[in-house]
Amino acid sequence: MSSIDFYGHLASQPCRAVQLFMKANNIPFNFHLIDLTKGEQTKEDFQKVNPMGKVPAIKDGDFCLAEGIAIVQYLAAKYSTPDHWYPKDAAAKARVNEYLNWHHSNTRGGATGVFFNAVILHQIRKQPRNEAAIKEAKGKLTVALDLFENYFVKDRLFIGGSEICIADLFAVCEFTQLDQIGIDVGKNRANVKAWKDRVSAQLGAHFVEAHEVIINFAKSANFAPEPFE
Amino acid sequence: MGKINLHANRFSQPARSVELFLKVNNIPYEFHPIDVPKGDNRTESFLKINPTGTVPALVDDEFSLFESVAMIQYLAKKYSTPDHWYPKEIRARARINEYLAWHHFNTRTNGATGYFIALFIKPRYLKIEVSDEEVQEAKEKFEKMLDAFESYYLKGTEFISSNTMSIADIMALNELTQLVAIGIEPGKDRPKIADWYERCKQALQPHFDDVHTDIFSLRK
Repeated sequence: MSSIDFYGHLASQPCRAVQLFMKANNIPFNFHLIDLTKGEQTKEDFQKVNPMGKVPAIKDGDFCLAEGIAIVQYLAAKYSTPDHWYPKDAAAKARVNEYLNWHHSNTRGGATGVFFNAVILHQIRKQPRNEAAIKEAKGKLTVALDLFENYFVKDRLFIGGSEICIADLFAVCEFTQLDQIGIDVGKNRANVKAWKDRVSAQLGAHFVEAHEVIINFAKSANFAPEPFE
Repeated sequence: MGKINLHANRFSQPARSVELFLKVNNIPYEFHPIDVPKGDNRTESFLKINPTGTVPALVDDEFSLFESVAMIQYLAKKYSTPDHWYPKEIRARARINEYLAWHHFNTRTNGATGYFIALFIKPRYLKIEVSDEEVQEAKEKFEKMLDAFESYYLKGTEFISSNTMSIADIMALNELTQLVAIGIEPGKDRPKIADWYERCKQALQPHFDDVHTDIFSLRK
């Protein structure tokens, strides 16, 4: 099979999740860097792939697709990846879908809300800190983390059950973004900590590789630590 | 197969979506009303089936689930509903999944639901004052969302990313009917959206009227 054309930037949480899935499943891909800091998402070539101008996006032959979660669901089906990633059984799949849908407004709403306001808008774009937005995002993050601790990874090794699934990839990449500003989601939550360590251990070298860009970016841009809990 | 238990109320956009899907596919279900102002969603028994305390929740025998999209995806599979609702072919399915992922933050939080919160939930229900700036900001985000919805998801197709109706359309429709209920017509000045809205509404009758009696009573 020919390679997937993957458009993204590894400073982006969902881009990392897509790459992790492809690497873990040996799905061949060509990486096309879309440098968001240089406005490359508005370039005509990329607009042809994703008129919405967002990353991640893929092109599989003549088929273009955006939205990280939809991309990974597509790849899991196309490449018939091992069942645990996105189970076929209706109830097991529903358990993963439950998380995948909840993710957007809750994990991502909270975590990206904090990161976007504190780092992108304030530190990088030099806008004044929007304390109201940051406070609201931290509130969402707290609720999300409590639900992780008391439900999603309370009696399960991974979000989908005993093995890693696509939900774990999207969740963990939101939390590793927060690591760059000194927010350790596992600090006060033992189940979350154990799960996060388990996910990174499972993904091994792919996990390390996927995070090089954001770690270097955090260092060179000198991200300030953000207080949380 | 036993009945599906749907714990919901018809003021909730996602709850209406699940109920519409059950009705239009003749899936037997029992409706358990959850009155949020009364705190039905905060009882110990409800939190056992849905630890987020949100509406809707679905219980199928011993199996409980939250998130309306996950429920509909589950029902489509379990009851082998007609393929157009959630096509099996991987590219067609990907197009629907693409919308469903975009829906949560865009159509909903940063779009229609955000606007509904500014116009109705905060002032009329929570009795929180809302500034003109806040309403204007919510309105602009809503309009921007409709621009994107129209230009991308309805580009050259009768329904979202397809010429056949899917669960994506049901989810989107119910976000917009919430605003119709308080006198905001998303199809005003947007004929493509107006046509799509009517097309979806007709495809779901008489169930559309059934599930909308509560929310449309706000119009009076």
